[in-house]
Amino acid sequence: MNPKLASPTPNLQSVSALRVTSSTDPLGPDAALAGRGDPEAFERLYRATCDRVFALARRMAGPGAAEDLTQEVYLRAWSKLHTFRGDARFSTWLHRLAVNHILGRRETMRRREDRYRTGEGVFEGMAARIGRPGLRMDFERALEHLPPRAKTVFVLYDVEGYAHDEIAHRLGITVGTSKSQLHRARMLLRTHLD
Amino acid sequence: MARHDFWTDRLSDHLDGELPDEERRAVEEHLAGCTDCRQVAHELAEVKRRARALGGVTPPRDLWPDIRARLDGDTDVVDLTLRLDPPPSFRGDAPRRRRGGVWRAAATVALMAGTGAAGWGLRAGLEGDGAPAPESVATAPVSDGTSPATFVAEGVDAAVLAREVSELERLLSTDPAGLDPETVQVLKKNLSIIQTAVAESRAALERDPDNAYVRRHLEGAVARQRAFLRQATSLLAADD
Repeated sequence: MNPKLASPTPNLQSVSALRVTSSTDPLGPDAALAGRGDPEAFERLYRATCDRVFALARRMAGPGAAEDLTQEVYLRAWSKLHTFRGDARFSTWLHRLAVNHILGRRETMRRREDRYRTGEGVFEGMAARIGRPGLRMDFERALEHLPPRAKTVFVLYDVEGYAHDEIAHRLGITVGTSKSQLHRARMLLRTHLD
Repeated sequence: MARHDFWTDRLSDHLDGELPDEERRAVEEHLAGCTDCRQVAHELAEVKRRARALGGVTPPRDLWPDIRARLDGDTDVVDLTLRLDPPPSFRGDAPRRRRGGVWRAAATVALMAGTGAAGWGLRAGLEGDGAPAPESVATAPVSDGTSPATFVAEGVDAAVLAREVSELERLLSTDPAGLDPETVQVLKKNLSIIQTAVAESRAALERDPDNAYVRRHLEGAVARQRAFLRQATSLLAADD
């Protein structure tokens, strides 16, 4: 299995406060080489991190957009690697870049995602039938069907470990809205527990 | 039911430790005596646990070959071309070109789109986030193509390049008769974009002369700048 990105901490402020030298970051040497234009080093970085970036893209944008978004994240990373100074782990730097990029593409993603479902009512409709044998969705698939904003907040808070104030800032909503959307997502997902 | 909603609406905040002490105690007192709400609280905790346990997902196919193929290109070309001003002749309004065939308009379209995209892509790469294009491009200074440079690009004579820039600026300043004034303005704007991009690349390379990425970008930008100069000059010179 590919090495995973470092787990984000529950509070992004503490992530940004990290200072990790390349000697303690297993991906630091390749990040330095890639920053100087070495595509082979960049491929190693891709291999080491792509599962986590693809998962983030898939969960936030849906399966239809995940491949394109993943590619865009790495192309963006390639063009920005010269700004990576090793203040945090490469995986943390890449993760933040990925979140920023994906959030920036929310509108495009939403339009694509609509191809895969017809609206928020789909989830509620499936949830209503969940008690019937054979209709249970696995947790990952149920997540895909959450309403867009509830899904974004849920992925950022419960999966990625962002704090409500950071999420509210990123999405341009209030902390109260972030909390209520998280609760909404959890209440919907609880019906999909095995 | 309404009373249950009152309590269940607080269960996520309770689970996350987000409630003030007084509310937390009230929720816990309620949970102690309410089987339904205890069940909901248990399920919410399970959802949170499952979410935290989610791992990576392997892409269904290897994305690296596609990424590798695009590393040397302008990664933002597709998006960035959308930011370019559409050519006036193709905007659907009344034809404003005073003379010249359709092929000239088409050539101008291609020229504007290709050059602008290259300029934006370079700026995106150098400036970092790449998403928002600079708002002030229209007023960006037509840069220092005539100023001395320690390095322009391999095999490129800085003096020749400066002359080419001056010639295009001269042609653009003469109100070429064959093109719509708006088209001329777009060409001026795109010249400004790419000149600024080249200047920024040069400045970046001066700050970090061993950076292969920046050097490669500068060479690419200069190549696009020269292509733009050649095509634009040829286009305008026909009416000079």
